[in-house]
Amino acid sequence: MTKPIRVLIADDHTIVRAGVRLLLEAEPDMEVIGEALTGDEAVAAAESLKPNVILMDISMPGLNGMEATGKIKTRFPEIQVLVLTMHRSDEYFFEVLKAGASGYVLKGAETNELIGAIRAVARGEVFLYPTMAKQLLQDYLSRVKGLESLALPALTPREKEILHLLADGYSNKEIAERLVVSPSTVHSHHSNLMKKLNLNSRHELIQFARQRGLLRDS
Amino acid sequence: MGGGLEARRVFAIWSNALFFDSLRLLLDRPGIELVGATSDHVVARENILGLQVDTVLVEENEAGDIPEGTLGLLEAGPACVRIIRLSLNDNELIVYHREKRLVGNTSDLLQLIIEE
Repeated sequence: MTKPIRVLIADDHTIVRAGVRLLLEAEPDMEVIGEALTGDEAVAAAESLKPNVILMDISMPGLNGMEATGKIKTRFPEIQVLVLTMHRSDEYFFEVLKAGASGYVLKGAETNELIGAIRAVARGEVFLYPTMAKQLLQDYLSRVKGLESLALPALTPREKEILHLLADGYSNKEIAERLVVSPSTVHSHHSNLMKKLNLNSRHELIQFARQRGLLRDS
Repeated sequence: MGGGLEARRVFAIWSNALFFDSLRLLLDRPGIELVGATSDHVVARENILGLQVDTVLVEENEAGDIPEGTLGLLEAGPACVRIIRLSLNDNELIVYHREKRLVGNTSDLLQLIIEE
């Protein structure tokens, strides 16, 4: 039989703490080994009790949940911190992830979602509450979009198309045939590309394209 | 309603599922009977009076409010019905219209429900 997941509950809300304890104690693979009412108590209990998972509230007196998470992960990286909070804001979400939390569950979640999240982080996985995961994805996509726009400054759609084809190894003449334009037009776009990207050779152009993932699989 | 040896009849109006599940387990003890629960305030308003409850537990919504319609109905109801407002934000129990109490431990809530 596998060992139960040792859980520490850190929350200053009396009813939440007592209720969550009862919920977790109903699970055969979980054991609540302690409670903390403040972030400072959570750090101390992490050291003395060595839980597998800490359920961490954010808003607590003294050291808050984010600060406590940072301290715990620095000193005991093997302990997984699952944030259980009512805060939906991006600010808290990203801050606790930066502090090292393995997951983020809202107090509005269903009980089985919390139980599943504890099991997931205990296995070393990351658990993000679905609506928060969507926020993370949107943030990631906006960052990627920002990087793309930095990497390819002010290139026209035609220039981008020609960059792809040059990177794929096509000659100016072949590109002209594919795009049904004159070779001099392709030459002109090619020159503009070099100038805009501050590159000096076809070799540099291909390297540039490779670094930014513009080369197509052959 | 609410005789000395009879279980106190409790109705819960909740906003957060996890909070309600926790409450449900906390209330599962002799002397307390959870006769109904919902997150829908309209359903709550339709059911509470007919269920002859002794205590209504109301959890604040995310904005820290309770819809006026629900509060008005509860306050206009029988004086013997105790209304206890709970919040995930604050570690407090607010009992209309009598007092505001800080929750020291879970027994404070249970005591409030059971006491005459």
